[in-house]
Amino acid sequence: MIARLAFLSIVRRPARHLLLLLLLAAACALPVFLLQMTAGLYNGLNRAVEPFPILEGAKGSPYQLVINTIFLRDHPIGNIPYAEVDKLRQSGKADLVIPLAFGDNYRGFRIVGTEKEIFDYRPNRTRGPWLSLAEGEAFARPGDAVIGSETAKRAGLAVGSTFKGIHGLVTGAGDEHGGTYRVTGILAPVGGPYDTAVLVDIEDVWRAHRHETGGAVRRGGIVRRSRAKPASAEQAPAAAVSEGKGDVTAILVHPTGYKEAMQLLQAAQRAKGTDTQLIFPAQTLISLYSMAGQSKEFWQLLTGGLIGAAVLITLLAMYWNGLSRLSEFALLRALGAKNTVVIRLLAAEECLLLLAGAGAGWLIGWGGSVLAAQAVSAHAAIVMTTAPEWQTLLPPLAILLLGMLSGLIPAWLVRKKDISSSL
Amino acid sequence: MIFGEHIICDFPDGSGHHLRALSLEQLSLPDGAACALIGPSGSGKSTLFHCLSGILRPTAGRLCVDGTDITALSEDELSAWRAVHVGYIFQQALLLPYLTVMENILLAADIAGKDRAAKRKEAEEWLRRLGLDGCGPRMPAHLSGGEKQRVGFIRAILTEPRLLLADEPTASLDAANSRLIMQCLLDYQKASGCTLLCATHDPAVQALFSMQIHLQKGEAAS
Repeated sequence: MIARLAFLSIVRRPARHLLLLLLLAAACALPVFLLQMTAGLYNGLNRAVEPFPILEGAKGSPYQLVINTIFLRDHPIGNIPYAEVDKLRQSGKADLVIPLAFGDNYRGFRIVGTEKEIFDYRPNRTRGPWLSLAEGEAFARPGDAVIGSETAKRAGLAVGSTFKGIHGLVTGAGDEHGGTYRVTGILAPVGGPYDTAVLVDIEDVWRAHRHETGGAVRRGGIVRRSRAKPASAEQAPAAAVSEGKGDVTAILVHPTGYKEAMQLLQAAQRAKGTDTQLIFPAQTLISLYSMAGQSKEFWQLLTGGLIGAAVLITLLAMYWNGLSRLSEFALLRALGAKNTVVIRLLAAEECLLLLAGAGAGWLIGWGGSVLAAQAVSAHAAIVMTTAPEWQTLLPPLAILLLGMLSGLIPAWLVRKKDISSSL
Repeated sequence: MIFGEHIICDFPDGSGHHLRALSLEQLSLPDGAACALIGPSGSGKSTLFHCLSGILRPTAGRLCVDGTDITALSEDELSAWRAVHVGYIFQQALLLPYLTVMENILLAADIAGKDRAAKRKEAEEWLRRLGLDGCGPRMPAHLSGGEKQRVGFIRAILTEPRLLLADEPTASLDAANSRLIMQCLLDYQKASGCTLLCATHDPAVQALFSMQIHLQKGEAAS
């Protein structure tokens, strides 16, 4: 009888309960959205950095090196000679050393010159390769390109499609290179910025720029923030072409172990008069987080405030909902229902309402964060994670528990109160 | 039989004092009687009804209904006793707005633990008899005042109570509906042999009862 009465009371008064549900859902959705967005952002950043244990690049801002190399945004600091790649490979302290060369784009998708070994690279030995091919094959011939899953989707490219690279890193700006690329493979989604990359043989990048500059290095480009050779749009990694190998923008290094990583770092710090820097991107990111610490504290405060407001709204809504039913409960008592029946009826009703409200709120908050993450991923380098975070369960749980407690106050009042005055 | 003595009901008046709502030296009513409870507003008619139904516990005194001292029962025992032994017709029908007419009628029977299927048949018969045929699935909001009061009457008698309390049942009804409700009440009382106590201001209704209790400022005079 109790469950039936509780159910009928809710479904047969839709307007009254819909408003209450909307209030509960809104109160729950806001903090859930914020918690999911914050966690998704941090996870997205961390996941993007994970395949890059060590980066070497031209001296300058380590943040710029990370942003350019890992997040494929902004302009490179400058170039460093390919000899650095050889040096790292010969050090015996790295499992894998992969050169990366930037400078061109196709419709805003960054063209990354690299070597074929990148497709075998396993940042985590227990997992598969970081960049695995979903379709086609890796580049083997000049002009071959492997594109990221998002690049394929958004640019409408498929295996066999051809396109021309644009000189520079800004969409729509720069000159079209003479060389045409042919898509030979499409990467499986990696959930990071490299989903929007165009990977080509580094030789092709050098060749394109040699062709562009007639075999000479073009100087005086957009930016030159380092004493190293400049590498932005017009300063592509074409130096030393006469020696057969051009410059690289960054080097991805996977050390053989922690000790070797530290040795590499110490060696880089000891080296004087070089134009290179060696960084641990994870540390750079942590330093970035601590720089943004105050902002994070603000968001935490805001989230906490929102959860508090949600709980208060719930407390009030459930209290008034229960209070407005006093005469109904008094009638039930007058008909012979025991106090426990009235309390169980109210609890059942509130449980249904709170479950529906908190559930809908969680779905709205999480769904909203998924949509927002998609929007962010479409326009920014960060691919936010959308898998539900455990913290997002806190607002609905708080709403459920405190809502139940606050809603039972009127039931307690009915128990204590002289019901004859409510009839 | 209803028997009460030294019944006092006080309420706090909000200023630290108490307001005496009812003071009855003695109340005695034979089993199966039909009696009108008469008195001006504030004389304690509703308070006496609340005490007799166990909704309100007297501040002092003793009240026995059919041999049960209801002032000695615990809260839960009182609820269980009320569900089975008392039928209450309120001034306003007091139907739950989210239940249909039939669900409202069966609510009291459900609480009293009566056989739902059997009571549903009885309720349908009563609805037909009181001109409410087909009203079972309707919501209370779609009923007139008279119809609601008839539904309230059916709800009160469906548990076959030994004590039927009608608190100003015709106060908000027109003359025709008043006559109909009173006819139903008296017919049922005669047929079932239950004790009927009807509080009323209406002289026409008062005239229907040979037995009357007059309350004056909380004092009873038979």
